Amino acid sequence: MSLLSHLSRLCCSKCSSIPSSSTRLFCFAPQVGRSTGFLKSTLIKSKQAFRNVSVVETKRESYKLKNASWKDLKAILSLAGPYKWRIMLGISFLGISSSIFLFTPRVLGKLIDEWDETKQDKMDPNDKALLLARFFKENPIALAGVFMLGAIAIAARIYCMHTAGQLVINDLRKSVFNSVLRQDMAFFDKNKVGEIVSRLSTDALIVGYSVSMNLSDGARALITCFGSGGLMVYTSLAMCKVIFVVVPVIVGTFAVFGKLQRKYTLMMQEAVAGANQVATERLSSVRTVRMLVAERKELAAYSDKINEIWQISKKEGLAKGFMFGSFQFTGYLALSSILFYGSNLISQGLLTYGELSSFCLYAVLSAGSLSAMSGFYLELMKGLGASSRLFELKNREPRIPLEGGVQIGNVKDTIRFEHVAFGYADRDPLFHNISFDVPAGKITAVVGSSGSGKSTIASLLLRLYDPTSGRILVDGTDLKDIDPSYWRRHIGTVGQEPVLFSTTIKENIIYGSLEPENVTDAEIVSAADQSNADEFISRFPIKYDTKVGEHGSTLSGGQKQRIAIARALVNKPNILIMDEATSALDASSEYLVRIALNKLLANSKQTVMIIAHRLSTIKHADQIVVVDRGSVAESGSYDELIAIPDGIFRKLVEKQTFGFKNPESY
Amino acid sequence: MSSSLYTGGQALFICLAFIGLDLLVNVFGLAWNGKYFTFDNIAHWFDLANYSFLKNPVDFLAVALIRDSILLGGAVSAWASPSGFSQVAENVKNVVFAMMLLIVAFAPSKLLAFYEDDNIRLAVGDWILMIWCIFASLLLQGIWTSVLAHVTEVAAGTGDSLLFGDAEHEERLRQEEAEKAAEQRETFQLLFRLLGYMGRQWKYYGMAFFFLFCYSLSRVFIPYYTGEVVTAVFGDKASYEKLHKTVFIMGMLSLASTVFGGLRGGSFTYAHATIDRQIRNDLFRSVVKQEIGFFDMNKTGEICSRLSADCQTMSNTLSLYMNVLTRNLTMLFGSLIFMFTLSWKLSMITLINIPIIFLVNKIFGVWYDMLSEETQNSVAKANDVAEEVLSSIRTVKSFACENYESSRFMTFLNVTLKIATRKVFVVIGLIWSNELLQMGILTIVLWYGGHLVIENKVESGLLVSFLLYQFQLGENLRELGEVWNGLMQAVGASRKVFEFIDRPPRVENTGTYAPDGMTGKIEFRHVAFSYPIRPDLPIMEDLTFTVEPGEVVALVGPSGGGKSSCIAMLEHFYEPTSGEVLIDGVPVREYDHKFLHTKVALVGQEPVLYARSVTENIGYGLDKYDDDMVQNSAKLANAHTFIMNDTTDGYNTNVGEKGSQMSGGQKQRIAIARALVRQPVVLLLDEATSALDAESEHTVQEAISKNLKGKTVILIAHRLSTVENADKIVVINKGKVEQLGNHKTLMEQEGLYKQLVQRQMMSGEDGLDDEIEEPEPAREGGSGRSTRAGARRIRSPSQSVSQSFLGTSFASSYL
Repeated sequence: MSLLSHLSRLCCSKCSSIPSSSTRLFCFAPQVGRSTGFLKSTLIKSKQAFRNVSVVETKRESYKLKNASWKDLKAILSLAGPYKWRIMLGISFLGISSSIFLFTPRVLGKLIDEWDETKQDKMDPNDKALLLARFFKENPIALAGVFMLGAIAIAARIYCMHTAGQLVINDLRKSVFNSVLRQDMAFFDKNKVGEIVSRLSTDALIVGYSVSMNLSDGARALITCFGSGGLMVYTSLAMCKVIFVVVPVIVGTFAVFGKLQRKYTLMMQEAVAGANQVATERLSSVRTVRMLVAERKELAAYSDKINEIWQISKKEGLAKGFMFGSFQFTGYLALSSILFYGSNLISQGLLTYGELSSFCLYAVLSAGSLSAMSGFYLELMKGLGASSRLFELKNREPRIPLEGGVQIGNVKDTIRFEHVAFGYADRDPLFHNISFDVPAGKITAVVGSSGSGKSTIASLLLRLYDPTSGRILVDGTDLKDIDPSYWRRHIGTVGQEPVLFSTTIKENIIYGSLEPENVTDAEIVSAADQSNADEFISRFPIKYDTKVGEHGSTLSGGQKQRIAIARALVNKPNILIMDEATSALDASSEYLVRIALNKLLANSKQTVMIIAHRLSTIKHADQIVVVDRGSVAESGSYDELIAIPDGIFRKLVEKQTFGFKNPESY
Repeated sequence: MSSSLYTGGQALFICLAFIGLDLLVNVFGLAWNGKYFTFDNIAHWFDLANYSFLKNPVDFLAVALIRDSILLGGAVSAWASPSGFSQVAENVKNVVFAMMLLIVAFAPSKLLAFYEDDNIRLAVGDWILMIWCIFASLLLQGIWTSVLAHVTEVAAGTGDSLLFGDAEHEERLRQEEAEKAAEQRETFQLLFRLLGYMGRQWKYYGMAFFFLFCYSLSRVFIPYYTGEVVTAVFGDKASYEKLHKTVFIMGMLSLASTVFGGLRGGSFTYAHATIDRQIRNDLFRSVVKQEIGFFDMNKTGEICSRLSADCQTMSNTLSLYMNVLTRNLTMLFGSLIFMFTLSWKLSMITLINIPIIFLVNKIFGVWYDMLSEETQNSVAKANDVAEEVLSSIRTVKSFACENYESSRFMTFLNVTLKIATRKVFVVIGLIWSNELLQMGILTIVLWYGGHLVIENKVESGLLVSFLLYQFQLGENLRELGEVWNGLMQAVGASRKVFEFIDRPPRVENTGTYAPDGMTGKIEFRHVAFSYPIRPDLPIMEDLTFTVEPGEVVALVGPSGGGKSSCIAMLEHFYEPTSGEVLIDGVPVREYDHKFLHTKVALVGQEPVLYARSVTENIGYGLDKYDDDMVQNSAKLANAHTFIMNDTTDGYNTNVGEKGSQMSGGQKQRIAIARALVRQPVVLLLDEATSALDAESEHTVQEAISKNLKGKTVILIAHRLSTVENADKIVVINKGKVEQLGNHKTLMEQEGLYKQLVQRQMMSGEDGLDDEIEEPEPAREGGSGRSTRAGARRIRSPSQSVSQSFLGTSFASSYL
């Protein structure tokens, strides 16, 4: 193609006759045919290979899930790393409060014995607990003071743990959001926005709670459990025989139902994300829902999703009911056994009444902490369930990095597409052999029928995707070796459907500036004037401070496009990509914008790529590239292409010419 | 009474009257001690050398003096500075209430002291003092909130001036009072609303409450039988037989409570799942009904956050806390009954502290409520940022703004963190208060109970039972405190959810008109319009035009002139500010919603596709359709060819989220097919072909011309090749109809349309200008190119013929 283009230019410069070019084009036809055949067989092979890859990935994912637990647990705990001092402080306060409240039942037991006069003579005068009991008997205020100290420690613990939890949640949300922003466009083609938002809001909360307050409650339960256990042994070794029988049953129960709970939590998370995705998509496109009278239908779709959640909730309710029920049963069984056996010992004179009271209180404390541990275990399982997907998002490495590489932000010679082939994920290749040059400082227009891949060429140039084969060279440097952010920052882009954000007009225009605060009002007005936007902006009461509504919904399509053009121009980019940038403008506005752009381009030597259907937009391009059926069919200036009989470009021009009549009807 | 106002003098008088009455009753009570009313008794009680807390009732007078001095301080302040003090009184109202509760607690304490002597018989005066102490404290609280908080200043000047000023001030205070009452009423209404959702699932909740009752009934006896076990061992009638019997009963009770407890938990969870489903459904249903203006003002991110986070908070806290609330209330009353049965004296000590606990919970509950609402709002904002950024990810990446958006998200997260930190302090305060009060009760009960045991007034087993009930009561009260905060959290989360559910659409789709044989005549009569989000900027003023049935009408004009707004009103997305939009002579708002959107089909400027198959996208919104209908519509829209040739799975191809894997032109053709599949009477094309290439556009235009005979078509476009063949062209500029006619007629007039045509014509056909030889000073820059073009024409005979043909065509049109 380059050779053909070169020869065409030679012919023009030498004023050769047209028949000569036609002859050359005709000579190449058979080779193109053979090349097409080869490419078809290649496509078939690619298809098969692609399917194999899909199968392998599916297996790998299922294997990965089984081994996710402990790795995720470690990852969850590492989230709390930056706040370990705060957490340690909280646990220290926990130690204080636990010590106080663990020792209370023993003192109370002694206090009870103290009032039982029949036992006074038998007590050991040197027992410290006894001494404390007598002290508190005479000084009740001191007992209240000790309890106050415990309350203060509890409050301090809660403060430390709660704030640590919130900090972890913030960090987690930020890192997930950051990771998502860095993903390439293929990621967003596959993942729903609503699902990602759900991860950020709900899952992060669950994971954050797991690692902070839940950790604190778990630690408290653990200390209380072992403390109570130890003191139970100290109080009466004989009584502990009953405990050793019951505890294994309780623990076994937790293990079984804990797994069940985790399974349902995972299912619940998926169902909730599904419902959110439906809601987000429908509410984001509510105009379409309304105009096609689909409210009832969408409500039914959302109800289906909610029903899924409900079905899972029922199962979760059953699992939860069984677990708590079994726990209560074993707990009360233990208490009854303790009382039965303890009463026996008392009647034999081997145990005092106060000691039984202490033991009972410790048993209750122990049972309570076991219950708290079951809650801790459940919350931890929920955290693991929620963290699986969250860490998947957090740790996903983008196939196209955000930064890194040679910092090139301009073109001195040419941008070259070399045998570029590309296809969207899970789709057939869009094109297979695109080759053309974009000369520096020139205007290159890309035209072709809908679906031929023109917008994709712009995406590739912005490096939102990478070619599947071939390469894109900027002054000889592969685009893959260039820092993507640096490269994009020097490209002004106006898209086919410009996206505005829900802020003021001014903020929309300066969006993308490296230092927005340094952009002067004069520069903003200048850019708006160049895109013919200043006219309608000035009509608004508060002008550039006018809010545009969500995604610019209060502006017309033409108004949005003009603001988008101003946004692209305000940064004075070295490269300009205009993808159907003026399709929604009326002829008058387009005329003014084009005049302004022509002046701008003539003065600043920018490199411009225009994608458009409107021939008035591309007539003045230095070079026009015609894309058809996955390759470049024609290339040259307007006059050169219009001179090709039966050419694709010529047909497009003829059909758009004013006053054109269909030959058949004519 | 609460709405009346008092002057400083009036307030002072009322307070002095109360103080006098208070002191008088106390003196009377002291005097009437013993069998006879006599002043010698008073002298006797004031013999402080023989004072004994256990016998001497003179303390009541001291307490009365404290109470009265507080009120006197307030009254004097109100009298000295009326306008300033009423607000202060309002602020410290709760503090005064706390003090009054402490004084109320003094009365039963004194009663217990009196009964320390087993032989005591209380005199009439003692009862008078105790009862009055309680009553007077509550009355004082009433005076403070009703009188001292409503003190106003007398305006100086003439009588008229006085009346006017007083009336105005009174009106303002009354309004503030009404607002406060409404706010409090609202909180309870929201609570009842939440409970109403539970009412819908009465079967499940009935079952759950039954199991709850059985569970509590079993559970509440356990501490009693624990004491019985001790009695069986230590009592005079100790025996193995009694021991075994008692423990057996305990075991059975434990088993019963276990079974019922499990069933209760399962029932509540099941009911919770159904409520969650109902609330989400109600919210989604209501949101989807709102008019488009609602979505202009509310971010979809916020709405989605309501759907997920708020609903989750509502249903989770509603079910969980209702579960815990009812369980603890039942256990609470059961424990109280047993405690009073065992020992009224020990129970009295417990009851002294209960009012204080509720006061603390009320204060922190209100505070927690506000913070919960703030949290929900800040989370909604963060989600809004995330949703907007992620749904516009192409733009973010094109401008390399990932780090910028990340920082913005962090800013919103930090707001949430700040609120959460303040929330922590509220939780700390609540827990501190509750723990302190619980331990206080325990300390006093242990000390006093031990005292009673030593005095042989109660059995030791009884004390054990009482202690266990004490623990249980404390646990119940603590959980009730947390539950109340949880309910406040649900109320906070529900306020916004119900706000969305209750919002009546401002554009009601309540019309029922659905005629047979709709013809499609459309009229705009003197229409004025502004967007609800910006009512001060008029889009239209007095817009008037008519579209006859079967007519093809093009709306033309500069961007922002209101063309798309005409379409929006015809679709009944908005209501005109004034004027009428009629179809077949009937206002649009009177048409049945579904019927209207079946007969009037719209293809928009930016068609939205869904992440489903091509077939499903074309058939979207239809109750039923088949492949033939879909393919026929696709052919009419010139979409069939690319669907079959250029996609992987033909009509089963998934188009990606929002059609991201289709080009703009492909999306528009599918959207056109989606509109045609419904066989509409009126077709609205709002820049429907702006993204099509010339060839595709031509084919679509041809299909529309051929296949839409008899249909009314309104199209908005900037491409003059699109509007040239319209039956009528309406030129709209700055919200008004500036020109009206067909292409030929308008070209004969000087005006906007001709200007638009010339601009596009010039840009498209520079070469023709020279041939016509019209003078164009602005075009001098292009003369070089024209010369070259001319040269080429001379050398190419066939090219010359083509150019001549074009020239002839243009000349004909021009003439």
